[in-house]
Order: sequence, then structure tokens, then C-alpha cells
Amino acid sequence: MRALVALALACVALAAASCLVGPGDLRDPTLGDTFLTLRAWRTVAALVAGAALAVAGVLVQGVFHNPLASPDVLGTTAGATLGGQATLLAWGALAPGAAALGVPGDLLVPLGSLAGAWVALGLVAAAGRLARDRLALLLTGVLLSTVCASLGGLATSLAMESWEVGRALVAFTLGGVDGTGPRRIATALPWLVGGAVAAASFARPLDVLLSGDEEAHALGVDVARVRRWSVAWVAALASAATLVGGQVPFVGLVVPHLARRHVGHAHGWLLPASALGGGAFVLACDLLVRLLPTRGTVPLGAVTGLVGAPVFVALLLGRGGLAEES
Amino acid sequence: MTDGLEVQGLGVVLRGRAVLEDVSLLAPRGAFTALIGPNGAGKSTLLRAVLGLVPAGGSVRVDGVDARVLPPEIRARTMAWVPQRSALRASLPVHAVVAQGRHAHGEGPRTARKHVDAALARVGAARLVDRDVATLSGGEAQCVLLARALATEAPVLLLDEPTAALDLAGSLRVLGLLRALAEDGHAVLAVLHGIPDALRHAHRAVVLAGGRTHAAGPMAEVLTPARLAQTWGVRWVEAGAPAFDPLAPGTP
Repeated sequence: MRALVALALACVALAAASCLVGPGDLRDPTLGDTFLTLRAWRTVAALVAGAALAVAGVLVQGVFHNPLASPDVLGTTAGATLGGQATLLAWGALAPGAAALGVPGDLLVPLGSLAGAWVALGLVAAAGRLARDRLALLLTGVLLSTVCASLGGLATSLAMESWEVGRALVAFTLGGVDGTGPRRIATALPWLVGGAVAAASFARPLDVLLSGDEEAHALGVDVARVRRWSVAWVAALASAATLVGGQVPFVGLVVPHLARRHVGHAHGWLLPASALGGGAFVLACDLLVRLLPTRGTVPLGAVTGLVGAPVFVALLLGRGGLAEES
Repeated sequence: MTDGLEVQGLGVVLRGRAVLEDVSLLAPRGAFTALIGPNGAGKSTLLRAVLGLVPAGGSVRVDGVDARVLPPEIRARTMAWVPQRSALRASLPVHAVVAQGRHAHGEGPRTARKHVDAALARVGAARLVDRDVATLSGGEAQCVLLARALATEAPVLLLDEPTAALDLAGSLRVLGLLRALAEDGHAVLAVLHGIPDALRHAHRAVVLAGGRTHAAGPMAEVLTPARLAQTWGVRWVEAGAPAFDPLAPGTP
């Protein structure tokens, strides 16, 4: 309980700092409110992206009994990125049709991301159904991520033919919460809320699944059902996080392990602790992005990776390693 | 209708090999039934097939009801399993592990506490309640798994070598407990390797060899010198082997 309160306080403090730090003067009588609004939405985006990825990490590590599993391994993050990239590449063809249907232009890329994530999930689920094996499901996700990354590279090289499209595509791929506004967060909200509710409802079966699939089955858990729905909600959470923050690596992998060290393995505590920890982690990394003395904007994903990787290595080499963490 | 567990014509094929063929057995309520047989006879697979952990043909009925069609929670409240070793690797307090047995009742670790304490007391492991399972000895961990099974309140208990990790005193206590549970109305089916243990504590025996039932029935009718010679290739020697009883608590 103390750990949860500490994490909540950390989120509040970081959120306050996030609203105070950044370009522009809040005391400016004409633009002060605008600066504050932009920073507030950026803060909300960082919090929800981090929380969604960390909760997705707890789910995926729990149902696959794999301490190295993260939302990325299911291929949905890569699918969401490729969906966004493809939308940017086909912008000229898609924009008039979307406008005719009344879809705002700024929602085209987020919707493309969601579509990409769900196509990836469909492919992974179909492979999982054919193979009927959780390892095959994970390997399919890894393979799909690689294929999506390769296709993304192809899309980037094609986009370079036009300077504007190329720049937009690179900016999208690098990700970040700086341009995220209320409409994008509202688009992601149903998936975020649904994922949070689903994760909470899986807390007890996930506790029993700590004893492995067979014992959980014998203890009354419908293991196949819990795994199927967890995978679907992991995809939803990961694509929603990509929607508001682009690719933010390591959060779904590292934060659940850090949270276990402080609140233990019971999912009733682990899920909220990871949600708060994920939000705090991404918020702190986004603050770092703004505080780094660089000429250009440092991508958020690069900072979470640079901070997350050494933390992960420290966990790996620390007391007990990760073998007994998931 | 038979009260207890009734298996008819059970068959299991794994990787193209028939591991169990046309196995039938009865583990009635009120009896401790020992499932015995040589290594590789298919005893553990039989328990797993009964629980639905491996695909199997044939029928499994509990108190006359087809166990295969029961929803997961009802099945877990009907048959409880004590595996030889748990796959649990997480660091959890003992009460949280025993509370897993209450999942099928819709209870979480907090709401299950009364049943958890009762189950631990029944197996004589109340003192372990707040210990981390990762720090338990093999015997203590086995008692915790047995407590988890009792917490389900299932009338049928399936145990896979419940005394394998236990010392002499621990084995005697667990075997005595299984007999007492059977006499309280449970149907207890336990894989046992020690023939003397089976002879001394179980009411009935099922002999499995080569994936088939060789014999099943009351202990005296099943475990005979002829059966030992036929199934295990050993001779029954009346050599006055020592027998042991657990001491009463507090005895010096």
C-alpha cells in the first residue's frame, strides 16, 4: 500500500513538473494558457501511454510465464507503427476520401495505427490458433515485428522521395507525446479503459496462473480463455499507447519487474503499481527529453530505451535475476 | 450410480504412442485408493487425463456426473489435484498459494482466509502460513499443495506421489491424513511408489502396468504375492520388516 501511495505521489509531482517545464513562459498574458494546455495534454499522454504499456507488460508476462515478454513481442506495436507509416505514405490517396466521409485529417494516422495493430493481432491470433502453442504465438509475434520493421524501412525509403512526407514519417516513427492532443487521447480512451477494466478482472486468474497452466486449469481457471482475452487487450493497450506516444520501448518490459520488487507478485497490487510506475517512468523520460540541452528534439522512445536498458540489466544481474519474477 | 470417481475405458495417445489403453477404475468415497504400478506404467498420465490436462477417450464420472462437461470452476470444486511438484516459481506467502484453492469458489486471498487457515491446520502446517513458499523444504511445500487441494473442498482428491519429497515422519503423517480424509467421505486416489505404504494405509488398490489396468479392488484382493511377481517381478518375503507409527506430539 505504501508503495502505491509513493508511486501516486511521484506521478503527481512529475505531472506538476511536466506542466511547469518546457519552452514558453506561463506568465505570458496572451500565450500562457495555451502553453499550459499543451503541456497538460502532453502530461496526460505520457501518463496514459506509460500506464497502458506497463499494464500490458504485466498481462503478457503473466499469461506467457515469460519474464522477457513485453507488449512489443506480440507484434502489435510494430503493426501499429506500420499502419501509421502506410497511412502517411498513402496520404494523398486517403485524405480526400476521409474528408468526404467526415473523418478529420489529424485522425487519419492514429486510425491507420489502430488498423495496423488489429491486422497484426489477427495474424498472430490466427497463427496461435493453428499452432495451439504459446511459444509459437510468441515467435509469430517476434517474426511479425521483424517483418513490420522491414516494411517500415521500405516505407521510409519510399517516403524520402518527398521531403514533407519523409519528415512526417520519420517524426511519426520516432514517436513522442509532444504533439498529442485531446482528440488523439479520446480516440485511444476506449481501448485504454477497456484494457484497464479487463486487466483488473484478470487479476485473480493471473494469480492462480503463477502456478503454471496445468495447476491453474486444475484450480478452475479457463486458461485458454484468459490467454486469448489477455492477448487481445494487450494488443488494444499497446496500440492505444502507440497512438498517444508513438513507439515507447522498454516500459512494458522493465516496469512490471520493478513493480514486483516493491509490491510482490499478487496482481491485485501489481497491476495498479505497474500502471502508476509506467506513467511515472514515461513522464520522467519525457521531462528528460525537454531538459536535455540538445538543438533538436530527442525522441521519447530513444530516452525510454536508453534509461530502460541499463535498468533492465541491473534487474537481470541483481538479487535473484528475473527468472522468478514473472 | 457410484459415489466417487469412476473411470471407464480411458485411453490416451501421446505423440502417436498409446500411453493408456482402456483403463477403468473406481475410487469410491470413503476409501483411500492407491494407484500403483512400475515406472512408466502411466500413473501420472492417468491422473492428468482424469483432470482433463491431456486429451483422452473414455469417460470420467464423479458421483455419476460426467466430469468432462463440467465448467472449469465446478470441475475444480469436484476434483482437486496435488501434483508431484508445483510449477510455482514466484515468491508468494503460503496463505496466497493455499488461497488459489478458493479461486473456483470466487474467493480471493483476503476473502479465503478462513478456509486457508483451516486447510493448513488440517495438514499440520498452520505455522507456515506467512512463510514465503520459495523458502520451504520439499516436504513443507508438499503439505502446502495438499492444503491448497483441501481448500477447494473437492470430494475427490487426486495426488501424484504425495510422499515423494517427505521424510519418514512426514510420509506417515500425510498417509495417515489421506486415510482420515477418505474416512471423512472423500474419494482419495493417490499414486504411490511404496508398496508397504499402500498395504498399510490404503483401503483399495489399482495396479497399472503398460498403460492398462492389471487389477483393481480391495487391497487384500489386489496386492497378492502372485500379483507382485507378475507385475513387478519380485517375490513377497515375510521377513518381519519394521513398521513405524508417528509419535504423539510432545513425546520425547
